[in-house]
Amino acid sequence: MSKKTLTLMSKDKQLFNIEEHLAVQSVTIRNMVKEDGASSVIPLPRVDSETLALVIEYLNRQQAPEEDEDYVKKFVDERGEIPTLLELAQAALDLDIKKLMDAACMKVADLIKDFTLEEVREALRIENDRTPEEEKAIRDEFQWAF
Amino acid sequence: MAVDLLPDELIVQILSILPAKSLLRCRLVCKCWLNLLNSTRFKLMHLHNFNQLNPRYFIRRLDYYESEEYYDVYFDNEAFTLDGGTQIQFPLDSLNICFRIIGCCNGVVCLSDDNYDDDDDEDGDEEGFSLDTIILWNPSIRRKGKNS
Repeated sequence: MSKKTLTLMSKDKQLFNIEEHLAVQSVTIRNMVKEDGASSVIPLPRVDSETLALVIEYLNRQQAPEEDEDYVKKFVDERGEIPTLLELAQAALDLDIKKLMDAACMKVADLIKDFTLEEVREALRIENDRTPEEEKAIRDEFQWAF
Repeated sequence: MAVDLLPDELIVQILSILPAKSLLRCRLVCKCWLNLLNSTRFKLMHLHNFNQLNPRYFIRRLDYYESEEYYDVYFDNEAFTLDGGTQIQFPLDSLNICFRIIGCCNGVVCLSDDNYDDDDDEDGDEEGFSLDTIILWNPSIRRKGKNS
């Protein structure tokens, strides 16, 4: 029996092929395949091609189950840049690949845990919506943590 | 340049595995983070996720002669390494040699300072110590409360 192949399309319209039995590690894709056989191209409108390439690399891994935990950890470790990790985590969230998402989030948490307030805002793309006075009141409550 | 906001689910997941000290800083990031971090739902999630990833022991050492108690946190690994990132400051002084640890639940420690009323006291005066001071102490955020 020949292995069935699926085609995934990134946000920037690049096409990626992957064997179906590997692609269905993504719960999102698994559900799509179940529903309509997914013979055509599966569009992933929120995932860019660089990130999708990473996700495909991860799905294509040939790991024994007992080494899998270490593998996924190493996989995200090697992509230690926060923006890349966040893209990866977001793609893993959309595609529902829990292990990859957990590992990427864990790595981000590890990188930002000693960040200053400003650095956290920048890394996680949050805008400050407080006045300096409001900020001071909250800061004073736990001054030792800053 | 407008930046894409990250999905809430991702933010919550990342915050739920940060140490308490980092979270105290994160309360300031923006208004909605403060609401999130103050919510019971998030606290329970953090308790579960953080402890699952970082199983640790909370240990008391007692210097009997100096009557000093020290609290440390150790990782539950083979080497039993000290968690240097979590420095515990013990904010209290016991009337006895040390406090009695009543128990520990969800990161909150319950201590009591028992005052054994000494009946042999010659003048029979009752000193103004309260019996059984109970203290609830959350070392992660350095907060404590007393029953008096």
